[in-house]
Amino acid sequence: MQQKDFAVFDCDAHVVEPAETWDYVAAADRDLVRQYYWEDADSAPFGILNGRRTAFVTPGYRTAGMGGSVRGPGLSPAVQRVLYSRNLTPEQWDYMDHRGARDPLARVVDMDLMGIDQVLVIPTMVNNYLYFIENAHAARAVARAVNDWIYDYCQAVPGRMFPCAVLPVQYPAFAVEEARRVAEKGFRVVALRPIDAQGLYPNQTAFDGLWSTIEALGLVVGMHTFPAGETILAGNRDGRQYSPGELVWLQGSTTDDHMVTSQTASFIYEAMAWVAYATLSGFLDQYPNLRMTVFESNAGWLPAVLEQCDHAYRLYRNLRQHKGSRLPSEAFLQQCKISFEADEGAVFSMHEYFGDVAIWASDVYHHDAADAWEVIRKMDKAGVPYETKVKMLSTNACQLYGIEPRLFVTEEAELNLPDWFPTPAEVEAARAPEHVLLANVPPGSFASLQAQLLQGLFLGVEGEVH
Amino acid sequence: MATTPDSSPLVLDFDSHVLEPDEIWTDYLEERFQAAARDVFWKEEAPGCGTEIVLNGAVVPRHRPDWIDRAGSWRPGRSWDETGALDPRAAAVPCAGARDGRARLADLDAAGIAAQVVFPTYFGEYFFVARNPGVAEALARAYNRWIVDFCSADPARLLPAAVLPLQSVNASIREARRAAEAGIRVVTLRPMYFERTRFLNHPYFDPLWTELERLDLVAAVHPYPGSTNPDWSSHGPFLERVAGKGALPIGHAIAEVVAPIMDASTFLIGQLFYAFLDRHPSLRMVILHSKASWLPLILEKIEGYLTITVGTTIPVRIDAEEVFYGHGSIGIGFDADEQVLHAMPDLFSRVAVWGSRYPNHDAMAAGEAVERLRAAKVPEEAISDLMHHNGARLLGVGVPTPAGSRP
Repeated sequence: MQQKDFAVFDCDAHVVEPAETWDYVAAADRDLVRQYYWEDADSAPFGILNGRRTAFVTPGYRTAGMGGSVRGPGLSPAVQRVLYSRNLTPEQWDYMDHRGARDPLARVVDMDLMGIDQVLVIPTMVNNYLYFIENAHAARAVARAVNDWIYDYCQAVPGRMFPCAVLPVQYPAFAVEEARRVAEKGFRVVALRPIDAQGLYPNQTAFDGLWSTIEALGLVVGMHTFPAGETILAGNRDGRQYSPGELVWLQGSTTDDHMVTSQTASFIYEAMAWVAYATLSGFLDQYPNLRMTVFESNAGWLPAVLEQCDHAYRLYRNLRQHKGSRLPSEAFLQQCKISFEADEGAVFSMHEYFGDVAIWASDVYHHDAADAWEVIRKMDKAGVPYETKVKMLSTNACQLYGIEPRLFVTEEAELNLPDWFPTPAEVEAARAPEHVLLANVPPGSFASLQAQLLQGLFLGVEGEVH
Repeated sequence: MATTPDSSPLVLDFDSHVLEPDEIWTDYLEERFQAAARDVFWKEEAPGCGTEIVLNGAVVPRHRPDWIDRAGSWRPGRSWDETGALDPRAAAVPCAGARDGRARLADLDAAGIAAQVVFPTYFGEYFFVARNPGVAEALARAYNRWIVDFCSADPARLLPAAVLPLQSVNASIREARRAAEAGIRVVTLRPMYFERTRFLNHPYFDPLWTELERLDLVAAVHPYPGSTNPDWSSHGPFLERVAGKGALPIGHAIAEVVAPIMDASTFLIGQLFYAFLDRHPSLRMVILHSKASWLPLILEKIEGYLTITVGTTIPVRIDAEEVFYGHGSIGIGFDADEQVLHAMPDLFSRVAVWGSRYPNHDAMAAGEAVERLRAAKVPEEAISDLMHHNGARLLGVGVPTPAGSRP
């Protein structure tokens, strides 16, 4: 079993906001929020978005099947593949739905098992839908509620969990106000998503005050990307793309075959677009003290994009408006950080390049997450030197956030798995393509449901609430 | 590694370009299509006026006041910094080799290139967006006849890549067959959406892929910036739109910086999600002009998400790395300054092929490319694979050896 002698800081893990989050909406705002972003357990999987019944992923994410709370100890993607192809009992579904996604005390238990000492906790569903709320006041109320809820969530286990706030960008003054409010509460990180939802791509003049405020407050801004397409089918009402990830999803949704999940590249593309703009426009020189990170988007693509940006910087010297002296790559590598995940061979091979800029992200409890033991094993196998490993898994993030690293977990524990848990042989057998064919899976399995959900339930489900 | 008498390596350049002259439209396009083509896709140069493109009934706007034709501005000996120092208000003369095969051969010699595959520029960036399938087929025929003539300056060293009118799969198949009969080995496919519903993985295109495999042509998946593409057709328009909103204007197009990477990887994701490479085990395919660094990460992501994609309609292998690297006749274009490639030469030396991008403004000479690889301590055997053997194997033909060269 793996051992470690340094604190692992997980800079991007998630909660899945429970129904009680709406209890944090100020009483005076509840009627308004109910019209713009609301869900009840009784109406799952539907909720209200901008006055219209919308199929949220939320209910699914709150169950293990759609991936929001499934990746806890032992539930690797390979294991999920086996379980999704079975008819599971309610008890088995319940096992896969990790309480830690909404209960901090349950989370700590999982953190110990997964080798994670400290964690930055980021919302899921609000991060997905907040940008599409059409009423700025409602967005403000929702953001405040989620930020207050996640603050209380993290306060339950001080020193191990740290909250990340979301901001209502619909009206930048509200975002500024919320940034100040959360900074006073002790938040160190705010998240923004680089998408053009409702035309609100965060590079516009209207956001200058927000960027200045974040810089002045000393907050870290995490550019947190997300899937696009299958998770927010409503999209922009004017029909314009809000995310490059939508083009990935479109491949599957236009063929009547199984889906092509946008998650494969949506995170990466949203981040690429933002980094290209931020480095080529002189944004980082405009805000020289801004501490920016890229979350949720892997890191292996970064060298190629920065190379391309450097090329453009040189080739367009007499055309570009940005007259700063730093190459785009220099600006990013000096001023920013980027999270990496366990499945990144290129990052491990280039540990000298990434040693000072990479911070680790588990993405727990989302279905594609990994634990610390896995990334440590992979880094060791790739020959990443110990000192670099500690930087990438711990001190880079701690220094960025101003958090003292604290070691709680030193040894990988044996997991106490139920007897129905897939065996290694079953996991290996499930790799076969035929194992998950719609024609071969039992009708009650998640595999069977997923195809139906995505083809029938989500498409064209918007309707008016009467 | 095979070398010339002065020990320069014999280099196969898998990605170079032409600047298409007006005569393709005025002389090579059949007269009966010319009136319609003036609306569908037409190019005209006029002294003092620059190049005007008409596409789908409207003039394609120039994004910014940049009179340097960057698609043709490089020539041997010109550095990127020298290009950056050019006056954008003064129209720079494109390099002669962009349009003249004989002049191009001199540039190949100066750049240390034994042979190169030649791709379109305007027929890449604009043609695929044209909306009239019948006219598109005629235009493709015209371009393909012209490129064969262009490359006739030395058919052993200038290898034409045909364009296919992807607006229609039937027309594409017809043109692929015609190109094969004309001796063309490579066809150009742009990874973008047609009519917002058909990407290259759509079943609509299955007959084309089957035919390309049967004809043993090399399917070159070549993205283009797409700065003026319509929304939802490729990644370029989104990038330009959001960059254009920015409080800090960039001053030049941004799509060329990252859109090709996005378009190319979107293509590969769709193909692997639908078991494309397993369904076409003999297809020769190369992904170009989008760097290679993204490949390991995207394959990792594909494998990860295929693992949890259940309820599939066709059997799909989840071991994406094995599917890709094990295919045997697949390649990906790289740039010599890619640090990820430098760090993982063993991986890339299996599949990567070099492209100069001649005469685009970001082109690089072969000698400089080899120097960069050597400076990055890429082993000589890997350099030989990257700069020569992988490309030759994909083409399935021998690379011509200049007189006096050593094998």
